[in-house]
Amino acid sequence: MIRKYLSIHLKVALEYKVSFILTILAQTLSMFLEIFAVEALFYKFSLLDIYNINQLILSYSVVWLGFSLAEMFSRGFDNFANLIIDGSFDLLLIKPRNIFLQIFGSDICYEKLGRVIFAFILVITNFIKVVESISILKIILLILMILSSFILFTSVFILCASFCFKTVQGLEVINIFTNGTRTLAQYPMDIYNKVIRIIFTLVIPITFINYYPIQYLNNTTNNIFYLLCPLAILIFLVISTLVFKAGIKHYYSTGS
Amino acid sequence: MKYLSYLKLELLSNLQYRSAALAGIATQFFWGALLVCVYTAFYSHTSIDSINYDQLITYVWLNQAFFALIFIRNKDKDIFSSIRTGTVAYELCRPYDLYIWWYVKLLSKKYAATILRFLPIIVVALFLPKPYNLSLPISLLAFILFLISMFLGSLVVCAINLIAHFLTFFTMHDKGIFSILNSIAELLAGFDLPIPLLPAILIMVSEYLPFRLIGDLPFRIYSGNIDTLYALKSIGLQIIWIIILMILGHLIMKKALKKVCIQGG
Amino acid sequence: MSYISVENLNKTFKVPQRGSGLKDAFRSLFKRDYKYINAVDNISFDIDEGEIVAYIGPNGAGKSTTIKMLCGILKPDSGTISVNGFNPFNDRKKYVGNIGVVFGQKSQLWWDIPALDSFQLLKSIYKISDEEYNNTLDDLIKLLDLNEFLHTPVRQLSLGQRMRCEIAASLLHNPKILFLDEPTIGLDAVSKVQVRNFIKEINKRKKVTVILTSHDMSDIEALTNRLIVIGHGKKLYDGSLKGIKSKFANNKKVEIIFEKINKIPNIKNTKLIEKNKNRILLEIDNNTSVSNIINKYSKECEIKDVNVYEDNLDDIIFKLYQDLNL
Repeated sequence: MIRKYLSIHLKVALEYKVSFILTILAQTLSMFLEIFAVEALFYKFSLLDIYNINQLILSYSVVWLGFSLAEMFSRGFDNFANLIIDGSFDLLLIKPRNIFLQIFGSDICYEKLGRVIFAFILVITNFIKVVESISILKIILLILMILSSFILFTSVFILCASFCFKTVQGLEVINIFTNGTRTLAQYPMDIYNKVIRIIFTLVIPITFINYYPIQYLNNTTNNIFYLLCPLAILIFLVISTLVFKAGIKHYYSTGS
Repeated sequence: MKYLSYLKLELLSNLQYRSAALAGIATQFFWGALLVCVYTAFYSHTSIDSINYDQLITYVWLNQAFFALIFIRNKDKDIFSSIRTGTVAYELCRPYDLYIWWYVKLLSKKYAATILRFLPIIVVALFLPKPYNLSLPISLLAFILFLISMFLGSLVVCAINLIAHFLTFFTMHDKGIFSILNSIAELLAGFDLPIPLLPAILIMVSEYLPFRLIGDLPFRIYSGNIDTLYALKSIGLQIIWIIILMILGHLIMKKALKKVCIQGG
Repeated sequence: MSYISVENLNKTFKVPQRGSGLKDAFRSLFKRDYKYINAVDNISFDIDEGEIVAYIGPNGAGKSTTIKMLCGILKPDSGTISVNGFNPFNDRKKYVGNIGVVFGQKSQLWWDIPALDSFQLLKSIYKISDEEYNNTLDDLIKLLDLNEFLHTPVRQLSLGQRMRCEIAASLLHNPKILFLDEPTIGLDAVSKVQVRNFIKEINKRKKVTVILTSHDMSDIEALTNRLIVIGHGKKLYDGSLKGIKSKFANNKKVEIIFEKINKIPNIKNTKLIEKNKNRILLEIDNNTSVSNIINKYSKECEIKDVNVYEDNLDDIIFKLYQDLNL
């Protein structure tokens, strides 16, 4: 079924080829410009002596890769308000399959492909420069970092989607949450003051997907626990899933 | 006057979208707070010559407060669809200049949205604890110049907006092109980073283009980042650009309409 | 026990009240007033396997609320629903494999690609075996005459073609019950007839139970003999089409056109409404036979033409709604 979903959305995307390609370009450009802005700030403030540039890029390209993957595959949650507004959500509920799987399948945004590839290249090239010697453990850690970044943003989308069960008015506010998380997560954590760092460790566990794991990658620490950091994201996933399930329950009794 | 009554109508119908306005205020406010966090972090390490911390924070808050006014990525569905579907033919029959009509329409929408939003953000930002707050204008003169250039800036952005709309008539794949053009314009308008924080080469490029005249200029006049003489010069430049952009827009519109008429919509 | 059995079903919604002025809008930010609406108010009915039942009522009467509860996507406040032994809400996942739903205004087809692709996706969603899928699809293609446009992107289909695909999509998994929500809305006359014929056919051949909502009374006259009418959440009528006609229809009118008439015959239970030089309009009650009248008149004059005017279902329903102040 997942394969069917993947292929059906690809067919849709390829119906309008030129527009598809232009959109990919536009999306990639806007991401490039944001990354460029971050870079420019470090340059302007002459902070590149303090921060290792490769480490910096690795840190935020992991964020971007996870975010783009989530935008691509978890689009159904990102755009959940539409499913509710046009009544498609009801159509999903009358199918005998897992509702989460169906929401994932309801939209797959191949237009983010450019972003994914671009971010992936940044991740790989800078990973090679950051780790002095490549080991199996470090590769596994990198994969965990990417996965956990994807899961983190997917969880944020799911959490935001849960609000749609309450109201679909003024939902732009939610963009603060998704885009805000991404924007703040682009910068290295130690640039911020304590309060923000605590938020990003305990509330939205961003530090676990890049800050701590990179300590292991660049040999700052050999503590094997750093390898397990990305798994902390799973707690966040569980919480947001539970919230969403509560939302569905509310939907069952109000139908709106 | 018919244009003024249009503005009134737009304002009234905008009042219907209170929840959208509230959401806009919240978004802009939080976004501002977020940027203040980031810049505070950077300035705590070093400071730079081109713009100081207070000026930058003021810039951020003004940018958020007037976001609806200077917003470049503004898509007007009516204008898009009226050319796409060919209903523009009816509009051409009306007793007014179509360019001016659309121009006023965009401008009215922008002002209607801004009037509902800017005040709460300004007030809250003014009373935030130091140093995270919006400062008062550097002088009364600066404030007057700010108002003038802010108004002219809104004229600039509408002219640019219309050109972007007309350009998409020539390419049927509007979403991509529109977005690419806007991304570049936004960078050079100081939306991604305030212009003083851009690399030197981009600052130079931006000098030759109208985009920085939209919001970047008035915000920097307000905070005193730009001196009076340069401000006056830039305001002159704004007027020149408005004339150029409007003439250009008019020409492109004529070309686009010709194409639509030949196609028969 | 019947195939579908609904007993004392209730559903109440809490709706925020909002004034129109600026002041009210401001107040509603802090304190909201709510109104409670009994969308479904103590409704009971039974439906047998293989029946076609029309479920009708004015907008906002509670039709779609009932349908949603029957589909298992809305939880009843109280009352029981049992469909083929399932409780739709509690056994939702098992249950929904047995139902097909067509919403006239919502599509389950992918807009930009051919319907066949959507069918294949549905095949894997419902886990239909290759063999069953091929058989059913062949059947549906023949029955609905889909062949010409199965490979055309859905956005390029006419409304009638799209509705046929839509119905096929909801039948791929051979459901036992089919819910049709305004299946002919917006269709032209030919497509309407096609869709109706198809619904009848599928009901006969596969013993599919059909529950249908529609505002188009000709749909209902063509398709069904059983009618459930609701208004303000309450059941107003449940019975045959004939029954509702005899209960609510006005008297018939008979128009007789002739060259010349000798004498107007006096017939019991008829009322002369209009009389011209060569035309007479009579009102008769529903029990008086028209042939008897013609018989009597033919003795007095040379009848050129006879017209009988009867209330159609639209008039009846209109009257019903009006009587009940809906």
